[in-house]
Amino acid sequence: MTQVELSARLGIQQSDLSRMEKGEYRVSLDTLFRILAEFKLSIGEFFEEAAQDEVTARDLRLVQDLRSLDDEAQREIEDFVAWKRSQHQQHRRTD
Amino acid sequence: MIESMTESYELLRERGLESLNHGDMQLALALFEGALERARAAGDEVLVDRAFCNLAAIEIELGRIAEDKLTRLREILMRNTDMENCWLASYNLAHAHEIRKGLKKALFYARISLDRAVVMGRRDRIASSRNSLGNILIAESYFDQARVEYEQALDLMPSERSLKRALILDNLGYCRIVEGRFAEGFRQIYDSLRTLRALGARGFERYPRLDLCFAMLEVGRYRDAQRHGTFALNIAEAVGDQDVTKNALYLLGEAANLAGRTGAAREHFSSLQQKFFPQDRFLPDFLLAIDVRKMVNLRA
Repeated sequence: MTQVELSARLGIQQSDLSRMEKGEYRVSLDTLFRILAEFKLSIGEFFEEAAQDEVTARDLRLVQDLRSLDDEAQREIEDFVAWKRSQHQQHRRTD
Repeated sequence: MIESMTESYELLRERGLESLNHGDMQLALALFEGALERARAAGDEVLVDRAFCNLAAIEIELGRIAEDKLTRLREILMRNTDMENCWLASYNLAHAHEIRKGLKKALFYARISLDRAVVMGRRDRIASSRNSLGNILIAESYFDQARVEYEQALDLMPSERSLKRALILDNLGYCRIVEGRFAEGFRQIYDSLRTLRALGARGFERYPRLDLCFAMLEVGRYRDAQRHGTFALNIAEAVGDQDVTKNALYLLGEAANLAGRTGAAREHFSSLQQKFFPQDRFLPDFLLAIDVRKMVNLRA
């Protein structure tokens, strides 16, 4: 879907969508959820998959700890996790 | 007979304005309806148009203005026989379109109303038009431009407490909070709240309370955010304001989530989803996982 098509479906100006990308344009909750609903299938699928796994207290604590860090620290954590995962995958391939 | 009808009209109009200042919309509606009847009985076309515009303002605010009445407002504007009526008509048209989210049309009429107000040389009307422009600009996320309009509106208004002044202060405070200028923003929103309390306009307190909830979240004071958000929610539900109810439920959910109270957060997000977005069952999970505060405009 192009930005023109999306803006037409949402009933907002294309220029406002561009402003949104730059963080200059904020929308109402209604519009935000309309945007999400446009991509509902992929988001709904994502959450259904996630809901099938059990979420433990440790998982929640980790998420809360992550949220308490600043953006830079969060990115460092993400990079570290990505690196550990790649190591893990390499290790599995060589087994 | 005509004189007494005109006097009667003026009396009802003044009482209507008083009710408006106290936030009693239903009483204001009844009084302005009475004023329109008196104006018709007086047989004065300019007065009838004026009374019509006053009544239309309340109906617009209550969200129940009929299309033919908007057409009549346009006719009054086009007739251009009385500057005050032109101002009233254009101002009301701007507000009607603003409420319907037709912001381009709203901006068009708001600029006309400002032009008329400047021609009349009336500070109070210029202030109202500037406020109207501020409201439209803030809805479009032009926070800086909105702030300028609100500041100019305040400069033109008398310094004594009024409902209008309180609402402008609240809007200004919200702009400041979004811009990250917290000290000033808090001061203005609290000023607004104090004014509304002094005026006894309890229903209108929902606006600064909601903004304080948002502001407290921005500075990490989650308990205070919850307190103000709960106030806003209770008042909004009592007066039937769906927009504030929606935003309050969202912010309360965010406050609980940020404070680590996931259960309470899920409750608020679920309530929001069930009441307003029943088909989007993924929303509570989505909002628990992703903080969308930077994407949301409480004035949009």
